[in-house]
Amino acid sequence: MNYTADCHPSEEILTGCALDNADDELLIHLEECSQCSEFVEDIRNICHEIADLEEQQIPQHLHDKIMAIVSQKKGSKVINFIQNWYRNPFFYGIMTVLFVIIVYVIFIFLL
Amino acid sequence: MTEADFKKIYKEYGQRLYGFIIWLTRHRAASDDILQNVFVNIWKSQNVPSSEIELERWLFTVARNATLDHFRKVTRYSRFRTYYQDEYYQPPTDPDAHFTWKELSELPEKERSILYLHLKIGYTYKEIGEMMEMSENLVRVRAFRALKKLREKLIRKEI
Repeated sequence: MNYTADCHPSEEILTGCALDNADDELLIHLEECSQCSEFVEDIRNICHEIADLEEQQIPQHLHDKIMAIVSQKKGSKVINFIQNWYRNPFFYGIMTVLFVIIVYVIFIFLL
Repeated sequence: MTEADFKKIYKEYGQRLYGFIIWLTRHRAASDDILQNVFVNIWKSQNVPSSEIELERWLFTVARNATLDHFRKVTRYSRFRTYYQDEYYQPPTDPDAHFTWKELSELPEKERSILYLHLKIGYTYKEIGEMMEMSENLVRVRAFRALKKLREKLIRKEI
């Protein structure tokens, strides 16, 4: 397709040109047409401004909270174990055997 | 996930995820809550991708989903909506910049996400499409539409 002073590329094509590479025909048209080249330039400026936006620093209080997630989880593992050990058949079995041994030892000593 | 893995993820991606969330919410306090939730989810998750590329995409997807959840909650409770709308975050603007943060952030969420992921983070339309479950063409169209809207705002401002 030949672009002329009366036949401009669509805005989608121009935006695509601003973001990616343009074909030779379009580049020639941009050199001749101030209206289209201005459009492409505006879009490029907008893209640069977004790309150059300043990085946001994570505030210290948020950093501390996020780091605490790991330690909270560690703490909760211990608490979960203490609260739920009897649901685990292995620990339940061990504790039962220990209880029987302790009762037996106490019984032996008392008698 | 080990504590060391968690800290490594935070160190490498925390800043960028925070920038992305602020870009989407425009609100500092809300972004703080969302980022904290994101890292709680990461820590709890059993399926953290092992490859760097997949991990980064996964993190941005988790961050976006957490932000969308936040938007849903805010919409549900109008009391909070008022609270959040009153406190838009405005970073120090570059005196040479053509537009302010608020104008940029008035775009719909999807367009905002696409622009940020493409222009700031550097993802291709195809990658963004996979992350946002959209076709590559639709991502491209939305990016074009967003840029066009920004240009129109810019022209209106100059007039």
